[in-house]
Amino acid sequence: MNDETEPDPRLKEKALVERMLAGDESAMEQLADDYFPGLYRFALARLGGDSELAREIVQTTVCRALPKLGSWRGEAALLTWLCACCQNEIRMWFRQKQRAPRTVELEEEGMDGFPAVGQPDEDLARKEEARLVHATLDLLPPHYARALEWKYVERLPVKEIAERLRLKIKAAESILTRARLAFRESYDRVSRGGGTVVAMSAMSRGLSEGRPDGRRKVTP
Amino acid sequence: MSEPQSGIVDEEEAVSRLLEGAGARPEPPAEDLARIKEAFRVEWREHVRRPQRSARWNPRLLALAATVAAAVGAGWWLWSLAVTGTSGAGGAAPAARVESVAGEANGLMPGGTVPAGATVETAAGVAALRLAGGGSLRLDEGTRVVLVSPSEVRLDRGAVYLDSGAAPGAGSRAVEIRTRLGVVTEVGTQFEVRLLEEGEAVRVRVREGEVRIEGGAASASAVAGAELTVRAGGSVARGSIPVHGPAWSWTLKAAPPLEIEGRTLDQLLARVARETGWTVEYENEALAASVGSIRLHGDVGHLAPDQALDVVLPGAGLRHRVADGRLIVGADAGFRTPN
Repeated sequence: MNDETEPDPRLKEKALVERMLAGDESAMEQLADDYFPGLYRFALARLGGDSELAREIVQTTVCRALPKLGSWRGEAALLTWLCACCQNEIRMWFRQKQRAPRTVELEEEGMDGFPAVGQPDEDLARKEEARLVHATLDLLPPHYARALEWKYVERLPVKEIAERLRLKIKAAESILTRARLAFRESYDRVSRGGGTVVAMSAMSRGLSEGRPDGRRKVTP
Repeated sequence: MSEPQSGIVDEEEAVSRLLEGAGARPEPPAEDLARIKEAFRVEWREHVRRPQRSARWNPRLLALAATVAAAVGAGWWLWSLAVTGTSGAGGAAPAARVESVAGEANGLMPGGTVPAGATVETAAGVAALRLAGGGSLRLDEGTRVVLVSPSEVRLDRGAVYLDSGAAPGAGSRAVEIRTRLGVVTEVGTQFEVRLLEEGEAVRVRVREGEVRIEGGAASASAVAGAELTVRAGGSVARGSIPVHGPAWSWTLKAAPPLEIEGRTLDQLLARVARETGWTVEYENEALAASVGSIRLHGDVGHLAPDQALDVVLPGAGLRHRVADGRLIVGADAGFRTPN
């Protein structure tokens, strides 16, 4: 079992990518298992739920991104970087087909296909919130997201979460605390400022990562 | 914990409520994920194997292979792009690095190095080399050059384009393009040198700065927007050439891939302007002031610099049009000036 000290999640991502590029198959498997589902959800939401196209575009994205991973500097989270690549693939796909996306205006819809807030229908509002929560989870380090789901969705006791994470109970509690903070930060960032439209637009541009210099981050 | 206990409880309650309400994230179809992963695995294996298999090209092997191909005759087309060592090239310091190749690329690998003295040939493809001195040397289709040194290129056939950089001449040695009809020397510039009429004429087109051609046939110089054609008999024809437009389109095709990750938008626009010959204009001053604060992420694959704008600018809430060599950037309604 590990102790409480945990490396910076971004350093862990960098280490995972480096191991994979050095030929470690288990790292390749872990990267695929941890990041592809979130990337798929990202693509699916932008492609009007067309799962076949989402698969094709995600497949193209990850295969093309592979040789460029060596130049990924870790400035943005790995999934944010992959989403940026995926967004480019989506744009290029529509460009090649010479037609606009089937979905409504991308800027209004945002990364996760949310309609703008303010719909009178409560059910719709709940669905919107759920998608926002899921997108926020996807942007967290994978073990943070899993820990939060185990704790607050599956209602597992901390002891079992610790076992699943192969950590001591205190270390698992620490992970949960950090995961909650990270979730709140991410969720607040995408929810704040002019409502969902702005937040989602920002998210779709890779703004999920705050920058101390206040510079704006945009993905094409 | 430095937070008050009630704060922790409130925060935990809020997160709990959100997550409980949302439920678990929907799992993508297992079959789709399996197919994506399998494709990625195949690509990864290839990627991991690649360094051992091709590593850096071996001039001797390539020379041998090229010789065999020539002997076979019918196999010549295999070498649509090739680098061959010359005598004395073995062990020589690199004169250039291959930045990109478009078209069939047997023998010329992006990332490979080209030693001084090596011959580089393109047939059906175009290529971009980064000279050890920093300049970008582009090779059009059907070109053969010898990289005598990082600052000396002998053009035997076809056409080359040299971009010596936005701030040329600062401590770096001027690059010479040698032809049978004379030596073209840059004075900090972007220009094309093309052999015409079976090598009986050389044409120089200058996009930026100034170049000088000196040789047995003639001596002349040209500045941006000018074109010189020197013939074997010593005649010099002068003309003008726009610094943007179709005359330069092959150089865009040969341009190295744009790296946008972590760059600011104004850096990208400057690079596109340099590659296309366009000048950048903004619809208003506020927009002009903000582009340096817009940071880009992701990549644009192998799109040419002009095509990349179609992908990048909409993502930033911007649009563009090109009119008379001017790249005019405007903001969409949803564009927000960065803080």
